[in-house]
Amino acid sequence: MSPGPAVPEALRNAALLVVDDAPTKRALVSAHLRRAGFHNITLAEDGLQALEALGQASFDLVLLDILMPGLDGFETCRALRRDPRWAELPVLAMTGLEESEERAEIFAAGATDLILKPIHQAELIARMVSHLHNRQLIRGLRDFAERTNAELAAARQMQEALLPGPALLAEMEARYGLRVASRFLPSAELAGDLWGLWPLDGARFGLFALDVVGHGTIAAINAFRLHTLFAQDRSARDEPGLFLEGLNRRLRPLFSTGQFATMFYAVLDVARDAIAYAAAGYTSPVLAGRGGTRLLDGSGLPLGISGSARYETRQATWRQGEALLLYSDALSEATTACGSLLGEEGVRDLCGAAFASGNGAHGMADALAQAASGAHGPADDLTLVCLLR
Amino acid sequence: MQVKLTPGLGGVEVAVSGTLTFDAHAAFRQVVMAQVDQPGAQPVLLDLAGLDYIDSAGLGMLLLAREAAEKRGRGIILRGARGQVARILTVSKFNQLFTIQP
Repeated sequence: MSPGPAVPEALRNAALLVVDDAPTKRALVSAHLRRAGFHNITLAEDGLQALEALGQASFDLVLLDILMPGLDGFETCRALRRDPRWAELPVLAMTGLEESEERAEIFAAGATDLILKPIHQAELIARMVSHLHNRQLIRGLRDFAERTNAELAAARQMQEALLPGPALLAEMEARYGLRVASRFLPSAELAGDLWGLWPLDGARFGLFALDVVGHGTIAAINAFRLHTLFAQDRSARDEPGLFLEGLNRRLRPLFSTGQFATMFYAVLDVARDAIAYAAAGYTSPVLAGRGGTRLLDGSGLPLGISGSARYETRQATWRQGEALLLYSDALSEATTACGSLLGEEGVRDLCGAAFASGNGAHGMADALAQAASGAHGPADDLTLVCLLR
Repeated sequence: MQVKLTPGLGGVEVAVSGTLTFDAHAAFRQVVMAQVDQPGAQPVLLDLAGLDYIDSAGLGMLLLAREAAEKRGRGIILRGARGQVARILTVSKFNQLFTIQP
């Protein structure tokens, strides 16, 4: 006999199950397999024995005779496909049935492929190698996807932990007489968005929102970098323009060309009804109250582009009863029902209507989140923050 | 994104139209960056009149083009931006980085 085709090293340990009622056939197939380099071979005499063997050990491929007494190949195949553990197990049917209808029935029963009897060794091994190889590739991809998903889920939790938690929000609400509602909806597993707030003194607190270019993993890592920079330097937190300038200077060497972050930072003073703020190309926040709505000025060179960028501190009033809304551009660039971009004026109108509905901070956040999901769902990371005095 | 190149007196005028987002990255690099990254005394003219939409990734590409042009000692002129494109260039104060013409 010729030496026959060799099985790649990586596949030789494959666990094979050979099911045939005829002892001579089992011996022949088994000899073919051993000669090709397989050695992990289990033999079964009929369908019931095969199912029993499958229940006891893990197999990579089954060679299944079709015409057998008792549980035949069709029934065995259907039975094992009903079990989710073996839904993707390669099953190669060995058959002398040459009518195309019967062959179709074998596939309908769940066989992956079939080999006509009399078995030709080279063909048998070639088909087996092909199916085992596919199985290995699919397993590798699935393992990779599972590992990646688990890591992304963990990273997502880390990102959510950067956002203000319920305890901080409750403390801020009580201390400054606020209601705070927020929504944070990444378009991928991770977002390049971030927002937060911190107390400064009895009457003043800082509030920021930022959006790193792009979305997904790289944007998220850059958002983490920014967060680290805030934590390192707390010096200019009560001077918004200086705060952004300092942040920009430290960020510039970390970002490569084409990367940047847009940001809004404000110091809110509830004793003086005042907002001092600076912006680096973030969307224009909206103030909504009984007297109507006003847009703050979000313009400014985004952070991380030019180390010498200057950021001016701008002033606005924030009266009792008014809501301040920050939003990422996923809202202002959402598509409306008529197909146009919502735009900042659209956001302003929306905020006015949401305020007038009288449903409080959470009602406003819900109304804006709904508008942002638009016709196609948010294409970018969505952040919404609503502070109602 | 579509790109049209028009040879002119001082060099090539590059007209970018459609949408400039992350998906256009490969095409932008291949066509626009290749034009920008040429020796020449004249500034590179990017005509944005046909551009309907640009996102932050698109702005990032403009910054990459600016860096490539600066290495060649050239500036970039952004001309004819309108609608959302004009608004985002204003909000981002890109006039501090580029010559912006109506």
